[in-house]
Amino acid sequence: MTKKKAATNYAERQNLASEDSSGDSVHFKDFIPLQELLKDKNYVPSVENLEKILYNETMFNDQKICSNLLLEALIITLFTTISGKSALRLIQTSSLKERKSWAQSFENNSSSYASIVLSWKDNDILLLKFLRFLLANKTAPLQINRYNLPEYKLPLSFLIVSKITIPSILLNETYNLLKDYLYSITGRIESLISCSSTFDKPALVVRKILKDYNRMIECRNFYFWYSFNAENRVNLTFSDNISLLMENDEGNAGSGLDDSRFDHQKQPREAIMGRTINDQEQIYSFELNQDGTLEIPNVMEHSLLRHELLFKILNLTTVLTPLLELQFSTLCGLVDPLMQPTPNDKHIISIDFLFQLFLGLMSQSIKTSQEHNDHYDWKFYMCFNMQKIIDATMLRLNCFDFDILNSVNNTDNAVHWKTQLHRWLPHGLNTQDLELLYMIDILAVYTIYKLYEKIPIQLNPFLFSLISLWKNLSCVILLALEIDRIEEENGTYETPLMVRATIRGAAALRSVIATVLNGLVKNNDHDFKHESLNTFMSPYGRKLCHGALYADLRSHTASLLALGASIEDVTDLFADLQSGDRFDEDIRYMFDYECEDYDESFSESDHGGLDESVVNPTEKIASGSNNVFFRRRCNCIFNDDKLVAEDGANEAFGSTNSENVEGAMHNNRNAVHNATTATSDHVVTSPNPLSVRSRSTFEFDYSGEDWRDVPRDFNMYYSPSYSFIHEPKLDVIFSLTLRGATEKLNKEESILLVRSVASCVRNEQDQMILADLESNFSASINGDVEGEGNTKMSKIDNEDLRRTTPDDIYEIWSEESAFERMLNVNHDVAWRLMDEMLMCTGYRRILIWFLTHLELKHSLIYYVFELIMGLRGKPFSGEASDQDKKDDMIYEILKKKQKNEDASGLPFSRQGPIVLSDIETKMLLQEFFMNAAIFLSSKNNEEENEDGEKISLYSLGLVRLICYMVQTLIANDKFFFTKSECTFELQTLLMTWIGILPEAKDLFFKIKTRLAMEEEDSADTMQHEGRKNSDIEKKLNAKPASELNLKLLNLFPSKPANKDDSSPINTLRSFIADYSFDTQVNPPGRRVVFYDGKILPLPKADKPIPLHEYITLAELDVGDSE
Amino acid sequence: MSETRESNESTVSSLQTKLLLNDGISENNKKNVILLNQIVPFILNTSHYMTDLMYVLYYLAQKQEDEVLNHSGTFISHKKELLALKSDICELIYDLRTGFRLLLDSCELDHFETPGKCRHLIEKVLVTSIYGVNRYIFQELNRLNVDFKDEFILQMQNCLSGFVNLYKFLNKIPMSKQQSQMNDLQMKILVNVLQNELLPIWKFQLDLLNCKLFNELSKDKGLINIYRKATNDSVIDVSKGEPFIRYVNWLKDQIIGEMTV
Repeated sequence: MTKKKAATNYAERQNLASEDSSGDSVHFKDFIPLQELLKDKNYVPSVENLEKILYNETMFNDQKICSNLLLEALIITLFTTISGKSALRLIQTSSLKERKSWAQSFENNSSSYASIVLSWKDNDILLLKFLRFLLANKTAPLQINRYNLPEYKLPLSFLIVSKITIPSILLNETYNLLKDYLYSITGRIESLISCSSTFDKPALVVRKILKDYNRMIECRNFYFWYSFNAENRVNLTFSDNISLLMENDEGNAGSGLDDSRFDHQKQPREAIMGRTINDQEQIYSFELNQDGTLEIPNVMEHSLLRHELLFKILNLTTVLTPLLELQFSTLCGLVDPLMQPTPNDKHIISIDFLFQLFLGLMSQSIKTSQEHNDHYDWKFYMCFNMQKIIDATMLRLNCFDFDILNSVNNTDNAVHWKTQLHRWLPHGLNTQDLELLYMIDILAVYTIYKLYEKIPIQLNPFLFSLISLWKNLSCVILLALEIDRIEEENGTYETPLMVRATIRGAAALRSVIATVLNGLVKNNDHDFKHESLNTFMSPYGRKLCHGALYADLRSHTASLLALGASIEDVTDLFADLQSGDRFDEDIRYMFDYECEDYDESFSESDHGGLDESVVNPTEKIASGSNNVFFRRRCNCIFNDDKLVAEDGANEAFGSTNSENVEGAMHNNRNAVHNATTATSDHVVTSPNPLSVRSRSTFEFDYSGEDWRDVPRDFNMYYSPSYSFIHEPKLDVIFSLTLRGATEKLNKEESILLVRSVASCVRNEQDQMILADLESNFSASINGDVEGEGNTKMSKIDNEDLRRTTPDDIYEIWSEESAFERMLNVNHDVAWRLMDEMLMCTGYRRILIWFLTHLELKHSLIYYVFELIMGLRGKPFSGEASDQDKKDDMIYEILKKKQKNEDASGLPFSRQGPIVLSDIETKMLLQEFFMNAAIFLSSKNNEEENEDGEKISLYSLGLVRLICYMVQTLIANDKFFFTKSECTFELQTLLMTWIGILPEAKDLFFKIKTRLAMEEEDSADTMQHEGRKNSDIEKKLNAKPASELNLKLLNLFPSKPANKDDSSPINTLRSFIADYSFDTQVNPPGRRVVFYDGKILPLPKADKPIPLHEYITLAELDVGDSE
Repeated sequence: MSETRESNESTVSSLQTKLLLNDGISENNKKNVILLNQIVPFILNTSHYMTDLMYVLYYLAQKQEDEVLNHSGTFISHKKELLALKSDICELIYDLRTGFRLLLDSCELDHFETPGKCRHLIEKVLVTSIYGVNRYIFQELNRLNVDFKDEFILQMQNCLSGFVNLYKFLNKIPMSKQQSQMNDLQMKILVNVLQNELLPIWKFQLDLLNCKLFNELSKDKGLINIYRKATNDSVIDVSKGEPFIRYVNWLKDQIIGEMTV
């Protein structure tokens, strides 16, 4: 009876002690450092001195000193010593249930034990002695379970107040003295260090104590684990406080705690303040600290504050789980550009590099957690925390709810898009923090992938969340692109900055998720290892990653169902999910001003490599102008890289006359500008200057394509019997061209015009090939009398070349459609002029674009036909065998005339027929068919408007002629059926005429039949290869694949809820039975030809200047000014 | 025309056969051999081209008067200048061929440095010299105003442009760098461009020039008279058949005689 009463009283007192925290709050307010209280004794804070004081028991008599000493000793001992951490760990890990059980155990003990336990209550003197004991063992962990043994209990005999009971307690091996004391003191300790926020006074006091005693490092690698047990409310509060303290301290790694921050209400002051009295005079003032030092703003400290604020803004404190705050602060510290080091030769701060750092920084905490939970799956819990962070950021970024995002309609005329921004854009964030959140998510997603990379992505526990996230981001990107498109159409260009920042961050994150879901992370290693995270955030910094999904999502669907997701949830998830989108192209266009900053040429921005079959002359010309290879800090080679010229090639070229080169470039740029003006507006707005004559790389890419824009084969060489004009006059060309556009030219005039144009092209070719040699040669004979004459002649030649160039001719042609008008009056002359201009290096693709965009007419169709058939220029005799070529040329050079004079009477200035490259032929046909379709469609509309249902006979004739042309090309093996070429354009052209023109119908179905045959052939080939691969996979991967599939099949729901569900589930079940999780996705676009893990040093221009060099330069500047 | 090339052609064929016989070498080393297979013909064709220039210089020298008074009042001898240039070219040819032979003897054909060294035999100085000779020839042809100068100058310009273009193209090909920078596809396209387009068509231009040159030489009465006096050959027509062959061989001895080929 007495025993029960004692136990009850103890429990009541314990509860009272736990609930009474107001006194301790007062206690913190009155905290005075020992350094001040013991000033007369010259006390210096340190662990050793603290221990000495604790042995001086006379200090315990002074209540003021005693209370402050208790607080400092408690903080230092429990949080920064190994023994203290052991004790704290026991307190932390003990559950309420254990304590209740412990309290109940008093019934079985003698009253003397109960009285001893009672004597520990509120006895701070004993607590101080206990802390002294812990400090004496500060470097050794306590083996708490052994404190039932006499030799372990003896040092704690001071806890036994009654001397009579000392022997029995010490010798009783069933009684653990230390555990009893720790259990009994838990409430007291909790109340002493209670705090609710990292900015509360108690927290600041704690951090100040740690700083004064220089024990921050010992405190850092410290963490307590706790369980999710709902009964553990009291303990939860306790661990919450400790976690808050500890993780916040981790976030403060490397930073000091200044006195000025002790008072949290004190605002940080600007160290340097500038006041302007008037425009010409400015006064700077400084506020010095009392000790005379100047306080400079600390970027690191400000960043840490921002990270802490972000943590609160994201409301992660309400869902705090072990390591969450530590993970968040570590992520922030790693991805924030303000906290990253300057670039160096050894490392690239890439996504993968940051992931490795993150894992390394977290490893100690993970180990600590594992020690307390044998079943602790650190990968899952870490990814679980990552998912929490992602969800919190998406909520703050206001793109968490797909239904809301999907309901926003920016294209509704009734509602302006500005009124909808609040529904899908974040509130209260600047662009810096917005991008930081996206960066955090990128590293979080990458971590989720990396920690589960040994299993297929379809089995990743966070697959559902990743797909949902990708879907939301796609919706956000679409909304933003709609706004940008609307603004561009209106010509206002007022896309808000927040929209642009959102699209940039969302696109970067989406590309990581898509790469993970497509199973292409290893294929795109370059982007994750050789490009910094900052670079990766740009659409041009990502060299390989796409944001679109290309994987067969049925595998993902089947896996989700097999692993327990409901059919309704999965159906909702995959609704409105669009694979294979082209948002990346629009995003690259939106940020085209960044393309050169990230080692990309502008042409990549337009197509992004996603549509390689499209050949745009201007962009492809520009794409050859960058030495992209040397600017990457790795040895990776992509399939669209240009082969880099040998370094020694510079010797071969020397330095050409800069004046002449500038003139040529200037003229050429104008011409290109004229061409591009007609193609699309966004090219005109490009700030990237196009230069086609300063190429120093090969025009060969790593796919083996030959992009040279030069006359081919014999066309490079002049016809020996041709009469070139030494100095063609621009005014002659100008006047004859304009006259030829309005009236018929006679034979002499025609020949003169053609010869003038041919001579301009010839002079430019000679200039390109021989100019550098000429300048060297002229210099070498400068003193010679004849040399002077030669130099004078060279100058005259250069002047003429600058005045009359192919650029000038092209400009004349484009102005007022002079060439097109000449076609109507002098078509023979016009087409011969085109022949001559096609010999101009760097102009061929421009001219092909030009001529295919002329108004469709009979002579154009015939010219295209002749060009492809090799009938333009000067075809060789017979079958054009080597002997025929030899005979023709020998005849010409010996007889001074051509063997086969041209019917038009206008000789061609080069040897042989005009030769087009494969790329040029492809482009010619593709552009021709496309523009013919456009022309005929508009022509037909005009006719219908005038005559109702009547079809234009003129159009009918043109289409018939085109059909004959294609038939002849096919018969002569000049037109090939592959989908990557221009078959699509041709079918588009023919489709509208199938019902009208028999020739069109025959040709259309002939093409269709041939395509079908080729598809069957390729299908057979693929099937055969598929069988081979299947056999190999069965041999190599039989067990793992089958095991995974069998497990998933067993997990499939066997009893569908209703009939409607059974069909898709059965389909997916059969799908998963055959599907191999090794299936490889082949996305369009750029591919890696060669991968090398080596990281190259920084280019010289990018290296940061060492501080001593910077100071030296500054001193030199000061010296100069003096 | 083809007879004048016979000995050189056999040299090229035997060398290429030698290159092709290298079996069992690694893939990267095969690239070196393939590249070498394109550079060697370029060097030999350059040698032929320089020989043709010697022929032209000799022909022009024979057309000169011994001394003429130029506008500055001093006597100059175009003939001597032309013959001096011919000697210079002859020396350059000798150096090129000697260097080429030494290189082949000292280098492993499949070593990655061999193509670069081989390419280096033709360097900027040589190219500049050839260009200078061409310019001088153009001046003299214009001054002499021979009836075939127009087509001849154009064909010479074709040969010069082809040579410089090939020289620049070859200098762009990365050879001393890491081999992985050029993959099989690019190697294939580069070899195809060189083998089927640039090299054979340039050679065609050289052959055409050679044909034109010897056609004119066979009709030049002055040279024919010198030939008849020197050899007592009484055949009237030396423009075809066996007499043409004898005449050309005599000319070659006169022009190249001292040089060891």
